[in-house]
Amino acid sequence: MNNFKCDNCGRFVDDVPCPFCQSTKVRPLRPGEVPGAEERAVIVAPKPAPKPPAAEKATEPPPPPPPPPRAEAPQPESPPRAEAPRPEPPRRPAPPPPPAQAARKQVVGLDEFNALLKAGFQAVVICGQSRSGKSEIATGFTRANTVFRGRSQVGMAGMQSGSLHVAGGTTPGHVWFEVANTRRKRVFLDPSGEFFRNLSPTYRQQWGLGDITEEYFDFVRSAIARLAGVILVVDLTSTVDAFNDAPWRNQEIDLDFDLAAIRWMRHDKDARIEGLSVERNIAARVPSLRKLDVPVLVLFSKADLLPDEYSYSNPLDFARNRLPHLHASLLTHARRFRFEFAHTMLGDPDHARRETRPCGVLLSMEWLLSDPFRWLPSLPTRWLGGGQR
Amino acid sequence: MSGPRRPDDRWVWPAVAAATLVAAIVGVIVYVTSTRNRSFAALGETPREQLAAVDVQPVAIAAVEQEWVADGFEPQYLVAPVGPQPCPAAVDLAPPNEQAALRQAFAIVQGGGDSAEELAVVTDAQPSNLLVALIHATALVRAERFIEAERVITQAFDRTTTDETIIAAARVRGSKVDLDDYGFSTVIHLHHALGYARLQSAADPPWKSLKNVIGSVEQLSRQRLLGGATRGGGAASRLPIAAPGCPPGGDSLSSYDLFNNLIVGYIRARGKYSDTDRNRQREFFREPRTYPRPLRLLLLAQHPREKASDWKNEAELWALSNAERVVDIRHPDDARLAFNIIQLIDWWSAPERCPNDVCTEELRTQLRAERDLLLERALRRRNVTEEQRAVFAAGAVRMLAQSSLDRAKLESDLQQLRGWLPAQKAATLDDLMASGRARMAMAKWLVDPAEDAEEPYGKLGRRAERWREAAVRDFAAAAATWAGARPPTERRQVLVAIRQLLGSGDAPPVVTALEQQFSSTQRLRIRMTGWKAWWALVAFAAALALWLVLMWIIAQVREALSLRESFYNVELEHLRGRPRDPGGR
Repeated sequence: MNNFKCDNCGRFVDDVPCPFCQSTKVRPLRPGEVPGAEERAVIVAPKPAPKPPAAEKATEPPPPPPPPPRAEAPQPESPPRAEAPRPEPPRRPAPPPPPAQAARKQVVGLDEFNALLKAGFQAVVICGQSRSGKSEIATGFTRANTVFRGRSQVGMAGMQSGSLHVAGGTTPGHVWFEVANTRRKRVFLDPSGEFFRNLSPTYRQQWGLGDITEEYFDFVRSAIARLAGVILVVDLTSTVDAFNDAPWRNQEIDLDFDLAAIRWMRHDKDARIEGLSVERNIAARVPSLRKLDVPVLVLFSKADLLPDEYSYSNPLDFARNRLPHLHASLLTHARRFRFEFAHTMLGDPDHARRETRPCGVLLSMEWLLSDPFRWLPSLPTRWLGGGQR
Repeated sequence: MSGPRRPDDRWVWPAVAAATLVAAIVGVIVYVTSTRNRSFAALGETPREQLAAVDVQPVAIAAVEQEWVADGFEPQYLVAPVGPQPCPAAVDLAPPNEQAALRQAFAIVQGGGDSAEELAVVTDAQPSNLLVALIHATALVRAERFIEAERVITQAFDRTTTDETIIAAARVRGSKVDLDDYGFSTVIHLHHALGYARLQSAADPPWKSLKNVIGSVEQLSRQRLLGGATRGGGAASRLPIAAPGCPPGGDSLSSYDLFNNLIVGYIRARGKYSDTDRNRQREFFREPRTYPRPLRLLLLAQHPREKASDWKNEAELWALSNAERVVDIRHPDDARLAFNIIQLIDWWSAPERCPNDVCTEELRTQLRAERDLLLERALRRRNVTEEQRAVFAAGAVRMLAQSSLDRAKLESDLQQLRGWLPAQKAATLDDLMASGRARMAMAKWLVDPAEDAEEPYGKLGRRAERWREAAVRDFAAAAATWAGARPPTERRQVLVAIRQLLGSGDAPPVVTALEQQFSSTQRLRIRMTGWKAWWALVAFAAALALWLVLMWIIAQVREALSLRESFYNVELEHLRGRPRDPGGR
């Protein structure tokens, strides 16, 4: 009998961390929650590439990781929370691994977004896990711009889950976009977390999914062709194991892959090594490619829920010490990058409400979008003190 | 900008302003240094000294100055007025049978009132008395009753042959008659008054009366000038013909007045005068001379052209011939005559009447010198009537603008002339005088400018810029001529300095010719290095490059420092200074 529920993957479990997703967001069952009522996740047995899994077969979840060796592991003051209530449609706790065809579905909203690109706009792509706070980052910036700078931006309702963006994340299969700066023609592209989950190496490995194909990148291909910046959103409240010395390793690995894929798509447009899967093409080609020529902003979201020792520290030092894999990834793939904490919501995760004065998004987004010196060639961040110690 | 600010904004924008200022200063230094090193001031001491003393021909400046006097300064031919009334002493010199009438006439003149009417009674009583007729006619002319004056004189001449006898006697070579003789003086004054009356009334052609006496006067004048039959005063260029009974004085009629009105008479008869071939041959014939004066050369050049054109401008040619006769003796010390002769020279040497094969450059140069001498005499003498002063002064200002006279030497004369002009024209004369001074100082100022020296053309006001361009062009031509005899390196330096001085203006032909001595590549280098805009571009590029480097440094320092900042904490600090939402962090 399962007495706990994992808020990260939605499964009923009997141990902490979640044996399925390694998350520590595991809580006791609330009154009325019945373990048997959930739709059981079906785990597809891992199969060798290239074919996606044809049959669904349940597998045993991986064994739980060893107990945390370090006392200074992240201890959020409050339990992790969802970014915002999502009225329509209700998110399933742990969606089954999508078949390969899912990636080929038409991406809702992409045509409109492409029309904007054709009008001369450049895209700022927001990457991150589901429920990491991607969508709220974009609207948080718009809000902060209005509150602090007195620059109002027309909101783009209707592109999301049937409600205002601030009320929920991007609907699966949709991309949401919002004009970030009209004068400089910058537009945020906020794809549904589902797209990134489909690309996630940890997820695919966990579920034994086959190789991804180029169609998996359709949601972001046009944006990368007219790229102005990349935002990587890291949810520090979502850990693999709160006591692990690398509690955010899954996110680091996923974002590393996202960054490499963006670099590959931006600079290696048509060259492909015949007979190699997309992942291996990326792995083989990326080291010889130029680094990303656009700034990359890494935002640690939900900073209000983090211990002060985290959010008060220098974000670069924090990344160096706590997310070395992600830091190394940025040194590898990006010329110019920056880490920053941010929060745009307040309160208990289940009852979170918008922060009217978001914190950490305004200056960092201005660094990304409207740096007055952006027209000057810049030294790599590595040379300016952003490299390894 | 409201809201949280990046901490580095406190120093970044002042640093950007400082970088911009530094870059601008460097740009200015680059420009000033580059252009100064290629200017005349950068030449060696000896070349500079030589260039400062170079003879600059004011060709372009003259053209500019002529624009100043193009309107409102048109000269007119000035008529010599009638002579003064005879003096009572003439009574004793007159034949006894004429003395009573003369006493009566003098009494009327001295009594004032309506003398012309009373004199008419005396004239009617003794119509053949030439002196009475002269007194009467003079009174009528002064009352501007020209037709009556003309009738009185012609009636007198009709009643006697005395005048013809006297004139015939004066024309004889070696005649004992002198200009001051009673009878001769009376006849000359009468003819002059008749000519003047006819010039004013335009009733009859004036030249008949004027021509009658000129031959004898010319002969007598020559005698006096040669020191022959002189009586009283020594040889003088302006030979006074005292009124009968009067001592020679400043207001006496002079030989030049007779020539002057004859010339004016011909000019007034423009297109209406025609003479016989015999007279033409006699008038225009000149003895060959080793060193003929320029006016004679002009006359001799224009004579066959006129003959070929069927004497189209015969009156003007007769005027020129008479002017030549005057100038041939010496330059007239008479403002009016000199003024009129200058107009004649200008008319005959105009390009449409004197093409280059007739008026060669050499002849034009000589004519310019002749003209300058005449103008100098006119400006110094200024013996014109009060009514003629404004016209004379305006015309003289235009002539001055067209001359190359040293205005500094005529400063006091020009100041006198200035008083005869209305304010606006006086200002133009001031500008001409200032221009003369600036012209003298310009070469030195261009070659060896003192640090705090005022621009020589500063006093020209709104006319300064056009004048400067012209002065620079003239100096460029003079410097190029000087550089033609210098070594190639120095020649190139001078050409670069000239090009810099000229800017975008056209180069004088002598400069272009000097440049042609260099290869096309060298010419291009000379043009580029002498082009201030090029150095402005270089300076701008240098300033821009420096500015970009400084901006880049600022941007990189800012970026490096910002990596050590947490924007989250900056924004948090900002929020803590404001009321927070309940439950907020």
